[in-house]
Amino acid sequence: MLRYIGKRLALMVPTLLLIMAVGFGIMQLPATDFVDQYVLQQAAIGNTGMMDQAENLKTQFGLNRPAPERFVLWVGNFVRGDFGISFSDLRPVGAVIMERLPMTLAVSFLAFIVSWGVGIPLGVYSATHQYSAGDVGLTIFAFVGVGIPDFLLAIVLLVLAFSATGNVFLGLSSPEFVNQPWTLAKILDFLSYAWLSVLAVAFTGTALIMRVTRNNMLEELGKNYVVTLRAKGLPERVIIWKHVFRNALHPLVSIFGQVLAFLINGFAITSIVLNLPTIQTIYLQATLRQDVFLASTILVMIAITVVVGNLISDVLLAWIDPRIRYE
Amino acid sequence: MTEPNVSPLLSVDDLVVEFHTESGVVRAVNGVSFAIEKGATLALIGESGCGKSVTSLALLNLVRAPGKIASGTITYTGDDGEARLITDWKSSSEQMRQFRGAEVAMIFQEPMTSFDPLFTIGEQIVEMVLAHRPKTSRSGARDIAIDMLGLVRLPQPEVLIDRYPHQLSGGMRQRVMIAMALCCGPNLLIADEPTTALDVTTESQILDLLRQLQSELGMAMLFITHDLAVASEVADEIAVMYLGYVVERGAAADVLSSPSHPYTRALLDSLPNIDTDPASRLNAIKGMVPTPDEMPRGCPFHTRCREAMPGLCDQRLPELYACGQGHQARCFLVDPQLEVLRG
Repeated sequence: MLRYIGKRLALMVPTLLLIMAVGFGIMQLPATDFVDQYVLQQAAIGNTGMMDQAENLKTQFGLNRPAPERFVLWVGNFVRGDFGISFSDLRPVGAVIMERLPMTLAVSFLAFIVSWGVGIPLGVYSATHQYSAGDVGLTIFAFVGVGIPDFLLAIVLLVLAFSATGNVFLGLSSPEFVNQPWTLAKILDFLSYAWLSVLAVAFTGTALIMRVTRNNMLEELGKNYVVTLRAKGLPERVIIWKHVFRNALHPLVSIFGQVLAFLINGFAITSIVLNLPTIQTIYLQATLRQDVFLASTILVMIAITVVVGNLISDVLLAWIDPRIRYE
Repeated sequence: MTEPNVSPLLSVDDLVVEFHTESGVVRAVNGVSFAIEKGATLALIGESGCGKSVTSLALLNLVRAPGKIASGTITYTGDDGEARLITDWKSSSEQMRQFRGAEVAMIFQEPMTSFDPLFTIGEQIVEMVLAHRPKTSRSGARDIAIDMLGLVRLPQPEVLIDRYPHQLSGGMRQRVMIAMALCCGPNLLIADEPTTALDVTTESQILDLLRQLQSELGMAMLFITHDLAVASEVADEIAVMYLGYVVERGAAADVLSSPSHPYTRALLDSLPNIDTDPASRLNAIKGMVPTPDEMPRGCPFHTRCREAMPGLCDQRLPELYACGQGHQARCFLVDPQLEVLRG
């Protein structure tokens, strides 16, 4: 097992290098670069003086060197922990990301806990009470939840919350708490904003997890071994949770592989719609503005979470299922 | 073998199992009655879909929705001599749970899919022991499991107990299945086609084992099979089922040597015989088993019967008529009133 994990970790290096190359390469495809865009923008608001400084800026940012050279330089610095600077606010990429990481993780982690914590028990209930009134109700909820995109739900909730309280729950904190250290008051303030995005994202997530759980539970419940378990005289609770549920975990564990990536880059559109100070929003901005180092670094982060997440889910599968373990 | 005043271990009276499907109510078991004496073996034989497996599940009250026991009674008289009406218990009741596995245990056709693949066979036996004897310690239950694996003649039970089902061969799995079924000392073992999925050599080994265990432990067996040869090897009594009805029943020797129902005769005729001309065709029963939702009127078998009497067999359902000592057949041909009926 350890050898297998080691092998997978070693394989991650070329995979990530390839992802870095592709990500970096795509950012170079447009005819313009960050500075061209910036100068045009400034010109549009009447600041034509920037035009003269364009070459200067490009030299400063290293944008006039050939792309392969810049890539090698970036990768070289990257492995030493220097991710480059963000062109748009001239700070190191690491600082920009770290500033937003706690909020991002807080919202996505809450959404993850709610989706799985609520979705799994409801899915099991739904499957063990198939075609009952409760199951029909939950099935309708699931179809609505899977059908409505979370960002749309977020807008609806925003409007409802506004008409009920008069507050606009955009962002994740009240103005007075921005850039303040984390205190209990700030956490409460955060929660008073975060509930909306968590609710919107978790609604869809819960519906999805519930459907997956229900389908797999039903499939397992139809298998022969369940009849054996009942004929053995085991209590139903043991049959469902010890045996059937464990067998039904497979697809959930596979989905779990994507959870790490979700934590960093889930619900991007909802983030943008609600103007949340999360990584997703700067990722989109950075991509649009060709803020190469920032965008590429976030891309690599996402790639790492996907690759590591898949490794974790493969290890979990082997842990659950002896048939995989002994191959 | 049994004294006349002792009630049988298990008696089934007029059992009806119905499935409520979208296209209507389907009767999978239609007024089936039989009794199993202590220590005896009854073979339930018939084609696929004749209701024999559903009958066996009904004995443990394990028929799942949309099916249910619609009427009839199942009475079990255990070691304490007290008659218990199983059909009065709810499927999910604690009484029913304690009954399953402890008094009546069951083994199945597919030894691969009948185990939970995620647990060792030891754990699957241990959890059953603990479910019925909560006071047993885990290590005590493990010792019982090892003993049981030895009892079914598996080599190195101390090693095998920590194996997973997928690491064993089909024959070994079925032995483990038997060991598990017997771990709580049941009085009746229901064997639902236990050898169908096995090759012929393994099949005969498993049958030998079951017979040996039966005489060692003195348990009764309900043996469900479609294989007449297997039935003749293990059974004291035979009940032949067709489309949810028992069409013939009696002592195994009587039913097989002098079959009285045309269906039983046709089944025996359709067996290949070593003396017949190899070029001749097999004597298959004509037609197909009707699907349960197009149940024929009158005798269920008249649509395929070579001796069907138009105007009689397609109009009325024959009763079970006696045709020998303890031997009955559901056919007008053995009805003592046959001449009157024909007019």
